[in-house]
Amino acid sequence: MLSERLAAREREGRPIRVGVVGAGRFGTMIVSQLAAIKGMRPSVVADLETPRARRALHHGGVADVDIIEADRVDRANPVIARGGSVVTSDAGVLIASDVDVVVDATGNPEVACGTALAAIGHGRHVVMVTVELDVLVGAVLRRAADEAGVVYSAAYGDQPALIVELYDWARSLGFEVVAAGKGTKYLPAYRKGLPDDIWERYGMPEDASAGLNPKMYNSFTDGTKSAIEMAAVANMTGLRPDVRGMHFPPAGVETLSEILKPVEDGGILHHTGVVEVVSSIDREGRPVPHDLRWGVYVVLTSSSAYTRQCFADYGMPVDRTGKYAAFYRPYHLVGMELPLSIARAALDHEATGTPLSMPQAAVVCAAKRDLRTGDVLDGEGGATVYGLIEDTRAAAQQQLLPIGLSHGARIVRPVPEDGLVQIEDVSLETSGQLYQLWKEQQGLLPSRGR
Amino acid sequence: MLSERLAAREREGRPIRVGVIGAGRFGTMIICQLAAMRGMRPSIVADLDVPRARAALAHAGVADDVIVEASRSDRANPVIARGGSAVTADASVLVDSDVDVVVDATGSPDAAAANALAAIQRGRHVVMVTVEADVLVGAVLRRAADEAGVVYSAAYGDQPALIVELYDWATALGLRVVAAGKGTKYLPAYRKGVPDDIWERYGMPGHEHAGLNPKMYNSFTDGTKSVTQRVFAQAVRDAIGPEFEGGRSLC
Repeated sequence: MLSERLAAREREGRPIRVGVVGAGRFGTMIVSQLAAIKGMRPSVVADLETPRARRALHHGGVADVDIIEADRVDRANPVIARGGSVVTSDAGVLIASDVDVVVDATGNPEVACGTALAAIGHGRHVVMVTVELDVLVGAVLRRAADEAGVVYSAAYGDQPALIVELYDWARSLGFEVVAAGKGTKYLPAYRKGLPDDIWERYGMPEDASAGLNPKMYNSFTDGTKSAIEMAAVANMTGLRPDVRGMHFPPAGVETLSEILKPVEDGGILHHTGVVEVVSSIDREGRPVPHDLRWGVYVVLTSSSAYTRQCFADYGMPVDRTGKYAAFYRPYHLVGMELPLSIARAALDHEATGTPLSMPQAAVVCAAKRDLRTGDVLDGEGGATVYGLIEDTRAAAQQQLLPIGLSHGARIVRPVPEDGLVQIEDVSLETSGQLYQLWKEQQGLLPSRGR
Repeated sequence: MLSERLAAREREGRPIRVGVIGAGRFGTMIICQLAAMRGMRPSIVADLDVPRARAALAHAGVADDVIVEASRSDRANPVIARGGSAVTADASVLVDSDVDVVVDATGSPDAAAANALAAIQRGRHVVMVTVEADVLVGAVLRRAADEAGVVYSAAYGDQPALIVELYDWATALGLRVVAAGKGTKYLPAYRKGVPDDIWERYGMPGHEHAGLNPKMYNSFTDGTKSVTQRVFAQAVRDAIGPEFEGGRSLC
């Protein structure tokens, strides 16, 4: 068992040494869990604000006196070697020090890009929490990791990796995957939601939201994060969005298989093998019974009548035709489960989800309001654009702006509310590493007419 | 991903060759799935009642005229080599033929223990569905498998292995497991239930239970199977080492 193999590493005095970049909400969950695990150490935590990195370690029960701040690798390494924890404001120090695995939990694609490339360059395995980056340049990073002989992995515990796990389970067993995805709280009106009033929409009291990033949480409800996560899943599995933007149907675990099946069988799908997000509330805002707000699912079918009968015999929620059944996981523990990605990378040299060589889906921008010349876009979860999942080839053909590159872009040609933002509608900073890698990833797409 | 690794085995023309002993309810489910998978074959199915083995393969969509009955392993091996399916009344023929993994789904502890030992001695990995055998002699079988360099594994998909998976997930993450187990339909009075009236108690109408074993289903409700599974989960936790990773270690 994995737990025994980790315990053996602990006994042998060679725990997996982990560096976590970014000590926000997600990073804190990772760090606090790492401190509880036999066979791993939160060896280095990097955050621009080192007190935040310290606090994350405190949540993990690490005493302040045992935390050493270090701005040089040769200061950090002795602390790591004796099993202690280092905090630093410099991700470069973390990457160059003696860690086995680097986790990026910054949530900032530009920063995450630099961290991932540097970590791969140093021969570290990388676990990528910043899904936005993964959608933009994951295929290129994965190739770089392959060449360096390290693992580039999605973060177990976050929904994309858990969906990939269900997909892999189903495909290994020979089931046909009709749809796979996650639940969230969604209404079409949320698309236009602003960061200012997000806590009410998200359902979190003001005092609980202290220290949290309102843009991030706004992205959770305006559909952008869902689009990004499903694009990541598409790129790791080969599943595709059924339509641009997906359907976001209200569905609970009992109705997944009734709704997420082909139109000809009474469902809503035009294709099978799709990524889709279900809402935990119906279009009037009422809660859906047995909702899947925190969970992930797969709807599957089998060509064998005997197997289809078994779905029903063993209590799976089956649709009216008896052809489709849903399998699901009700919860995900976000950063708390991420150490399993670390274990798989360090012990087995395997990823808990990694991009395929050919990207399938992108996330493009639509205007939250009329955008005028001179307006500056504020990216994911902001007040100017929301994200829609789109087939990569269609996005490339229509020259649509990926939302991951939109932050700071200046409008040079007006875009009406709900209009799609094209690359030529904005003036874009193109000198950065992220943009260059994105161009490289675009080069992986099949050329037009093929 | 596991699915990619299995697909690669399929492409390379070397699927995992599986022998399933016992073509009852559980065995039929296994065989159906094996036939649908890329990278595996239901290479040989053994059942005392050979038509039952054929029926299981038929449920899986294997045409009757490509199923070959073999009473000797040298007859079975050419069938297995060309990716076909053999059936036999004799489990020892299955164990002796060219299979990578032997699954015991007989439900009979006596037969299961013998099958497991024979398979281990022949260098086959063993997946044990017959939990009763495991509770009685699992530690000994595991030791034998270790010595032979093969895997002795619980059956993924059945509750014990799924509970072990949850246990391992929690323990690996440093969470303390307070309790682990499964659900069932149970009343204290069910303890005294007899096989004669099990279908009413289990909630399965007359036309659905044809071919099913009333003693097995009575064990599901009288608490016996639940106790067996609980003991088994404990045994696996105590006994099975790093090589226990569900299907992953089998290929």
